[in-house]
Amino acid sequence: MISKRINFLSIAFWISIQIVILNNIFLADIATPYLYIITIILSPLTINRQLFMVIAFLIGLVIDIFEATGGVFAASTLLIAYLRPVFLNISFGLAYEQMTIKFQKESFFQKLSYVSLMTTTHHLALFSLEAFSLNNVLMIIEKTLFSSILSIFIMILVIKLLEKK
Amino acid sequence: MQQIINFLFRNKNGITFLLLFLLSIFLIINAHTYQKSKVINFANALTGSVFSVKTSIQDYFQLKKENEILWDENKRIRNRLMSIKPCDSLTETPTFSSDIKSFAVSKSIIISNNFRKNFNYLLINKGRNDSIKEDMSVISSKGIVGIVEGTSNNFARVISVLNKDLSINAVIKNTNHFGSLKWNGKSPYYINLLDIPRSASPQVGDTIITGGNSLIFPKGILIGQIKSFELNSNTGYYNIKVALANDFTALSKVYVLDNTHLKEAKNLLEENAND
Repeated sequence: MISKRINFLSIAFWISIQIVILNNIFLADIATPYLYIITIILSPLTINRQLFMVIAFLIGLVIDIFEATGGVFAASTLLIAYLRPVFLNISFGLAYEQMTIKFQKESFFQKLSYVSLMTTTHHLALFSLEAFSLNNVLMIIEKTLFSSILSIFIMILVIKLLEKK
Repeated sequence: MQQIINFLFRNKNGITFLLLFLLSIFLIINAHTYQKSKVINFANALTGSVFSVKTSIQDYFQLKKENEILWDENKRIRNRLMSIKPCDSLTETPTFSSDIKSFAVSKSIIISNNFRKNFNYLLINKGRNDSIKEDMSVISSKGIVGIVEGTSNNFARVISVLNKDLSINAVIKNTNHFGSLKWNGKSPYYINLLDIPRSASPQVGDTIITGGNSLIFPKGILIGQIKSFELNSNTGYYNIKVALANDFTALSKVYVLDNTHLKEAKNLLEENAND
């Protein structure tokens, strides 16, 4: 589940899935799933934080290059990498502080809250930076809401699938 | 000194974050300035090859639909051919000519299509090696698509009309009322035509075409039809909602138009500016 080391193969896999398939999905004309952040969500807990942020930045930058968005994905992926300890603390509390998280054994709601916090923060940053102005806050919120729901739903399914093994 | 080093060391997470975040903000702002940096051009070659493979697979599933579109275009061109007097113009190189401007046509395929962001770009599979240059216009069989903005050896980036940074000169067909075409970032099926004066009295269903005021687009390229309009009583200008003739969600084959007189016209403009 949460691996001991960073798995670059899985990062490459999720980035390609994102670029080739998911970025073309536009469910009900509003929701796009951004699943590549699952690599940030499920990366090791004990990793060096500076290195982790640099990796997150680079993952975002690759998607930016393919989407022609400047640095929008880089910034939002970096943001959740930086805030990750905060969200882990909120969702898992004592288990995180004592570094005894067994991701598989934590309750469903704890996992859901962790995934939701990460995803919503990422999507909100993503769509706000992409809009490049605050003229259309309603649309930013709308996009964030629907895309988040879709992303969280699929990510929970993926996590369930990975746990079975 | 010791204290500074200590401070940096204690806040190394925050500082790493801040530096990288500022870098990405710089990249975002850079992406919104008109002339792009070289980083993007490199990206064209890298992303181009990936998207080429993707498109070659995807295209296979759309053969029937593409056929339909080409057949339709053939029909229209054939109709026009019947209505003009026979001449040997078909043997010459294909050019659109309007007034003094003439345009050379080349064909290309869109390999990456964006339409749901606020600032959309397309990637086409022809580049500098195929003598595609910046400021060439891109149209499809149904109408306007965008303007070439950056090129690499084999690929070119096209700024889509569905990009809030772009504004294009447009005119209501059979009138002389000019306005500027600007997207509001919402639906990929509609675009706004602004600054049409009160005297124009537009009608729902009127056709909107490109005006001849730009050096990039030839006059008379189809944009769409008026869907609805409202008069802004403060400014006295209409705000017109135009239904795009092109379906941007399913673009594939496009034509790139090269204004063969662009350089001459630009030189002339610069000369005038220098005087």
